[in-house]
This record gives sequence, structure tokens and C-alpha cells, in this order.
Amino acid sequence: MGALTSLAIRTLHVLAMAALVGGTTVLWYSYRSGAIATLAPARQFEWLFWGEVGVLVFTGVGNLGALGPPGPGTGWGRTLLVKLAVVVGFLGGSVVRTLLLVRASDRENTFDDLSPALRRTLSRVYGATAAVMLGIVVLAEVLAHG
Amino acid sequence: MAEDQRAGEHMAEGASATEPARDATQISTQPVSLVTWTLATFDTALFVLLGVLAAHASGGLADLLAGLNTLVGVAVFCYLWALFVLAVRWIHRRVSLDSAGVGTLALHGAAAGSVAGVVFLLGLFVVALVPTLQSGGVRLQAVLLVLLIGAGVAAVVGGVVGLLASLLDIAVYGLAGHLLPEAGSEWVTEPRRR
Repeated sequence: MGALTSLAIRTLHVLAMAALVGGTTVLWYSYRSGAIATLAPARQFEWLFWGEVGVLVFTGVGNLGALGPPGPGTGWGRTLLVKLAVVVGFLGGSVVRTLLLVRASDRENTFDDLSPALRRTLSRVYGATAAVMLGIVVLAEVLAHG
Repeated sequence: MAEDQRAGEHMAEGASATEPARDATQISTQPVSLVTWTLATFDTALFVLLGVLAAHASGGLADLLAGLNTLVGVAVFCYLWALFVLAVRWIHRRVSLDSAGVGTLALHGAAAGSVAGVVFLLGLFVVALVPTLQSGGVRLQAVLLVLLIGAGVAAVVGGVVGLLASLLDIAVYGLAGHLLPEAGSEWVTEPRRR
């Protein structure tokens, strides 16, 4: 039962991260290329994004509980410390991105075409989000496989 | 928040155009706005992560997590998350991040945090102690005394967390507005892509 729960938690963690990296990368490319010209898809994605963040946090802590992390003095512990700090920074950047989107849609109709300046800003923030998430994935791989 | 507070106005407009009408329906039928969902999840995640970070930095994370069953941990996190959502929704229905002063928002944040802290503790008490009380393992008077002291501590801790979270929320909301490009800047007419 315990091993099965741990496997389910680990699987959920990986799936949630895959959904976030995939969704963010699609939005970055779509705003960059002009394939998306409105705020509506990004607004819908943000609901999913924050739901997935919640899932990632509790599955992440669950994973740590199953692993029994060594202290911060070890190499593994130091990498975990860096990962946690990067995740905290990532959350700070992400909340600003979502609120920027909300404030933009308070100002403009969600289904109207965006100004080039706003589209460029969205492309940049989703690009930065995807890049930081890829960095977190690399840190997670180091923790999992050394 | 404009999003929360405009929901009623949108409904009253009886929009004639299809798209704004659809937009208004989407907003008004949602029990929680995107801003509330975002800030509540952000606050919850940050609260947990900073706790984990502090525990790990002090070397006590393994001991802390060793005594916690995974499913119980998930349930506690979801309970905490729900309380944060309710607290942030309560604040946003009373004060606007756009126009209210920092003091008003911080006061509401502290009040909501205090209540959430006490409710969190009560929830844990009900789950953990009711079966023990029913089996007669603990005296009721002792439980009530511990509960009273615990509620006071939870109210103070919750109030401080709520105050800090609301100040942080105001800061990130302001920063988002600062980073938003000016309306109509560099606007050029482009064909609508479908």
C-alpha cells in the first residue's frame, strides 16, 4: 500500500510538471508566432496552471517524505536546497505573470486581438516561465538520478 | 478586485454583443475568480514551501516527514488550500486590490488569517481527537483546555500569516500593473487570426 501510494504520488508529480512545461511552451510559441492573438487561451491555462502548482507542491512534499531526505550538508541536500529556492522564486514570477494577464483582461476584451506590445510581453513571460521550469526539471533529474 | 466586483455589473448590463455576454456569464457563474484562485494557491504553496525550506535548512526535514503518513499529508494540504481559497475570496469580496489602501487590505488579511488559523486547528482536532474522546482515552476538560490555548495561538499565527500574505499579494498585484504595457502602445492594425 505504501509503495503503491508513493508510486501514485510520484506519477502525479511527473504528469503535473509535464502538463505545465507543455502548456507554457505552447503558449510561449503561440504568442511569439502570432498563432494566438487573444487573452482567452492564456486565461484558461492559468486556472490549470495554479491547480497543477498545488498538486506539484503536495506531491513534491510527499516524494520527500517517501525518500527521507538527507541533511543540507550533503551534496543531495544542497541540490534540494537550491531546487526549493528556485521553486519559491518561480512561484513569485508566476504570480506576477498571471496577475499581469488578469490586469490586461480587465483593460481589454478577452476575445479581442492583442496589441503587439502586449503579445510580445506575454510571449516573453511564458518563455521565461518555460525556461525556469526546464531548469527545475534538470534539478529534479539530478536529485533523482545523480 | 475589478474581476470580482465587476461580476455583478456585467450581469446588470444585459449585454447585447455575443462575446462580452459570454465573458460576463463566465465570470458571474464562477464561485472563485482567477485572481482569488491564483493568490490563494500562491499563498498556500509559498507557506508550505517556506516551511519545508526552513525545516530542510535546519536539518530536521527528514524527522518531520518521517512521522507523517502520505495520504494524511495530502489531506492536510488540501484542507489548508481550501481554507486559503475561502479566506482570500472573503477578502476580495469586501475590498478591492485596485482601490483599497494597504492598511485596509492588511487588516482584512489579518482577520481572515486569524479565523482560518482557528478553523484549521479545529479541523485537525476534530479528526485527531474525536475518536480518542469517544473511546474514553482522554478527559474532555483537558481537551477543552488545550483547545482553548491552541485556538489563541492559532489565531495569532494565522493573523500574522494572513497579514504577511496580504502584503505580499498587494506587492505582486502592483508589480504586475507596473509591468503591463501601456494601453494602445505600438498598436497596428493586423488581420484577425482564426
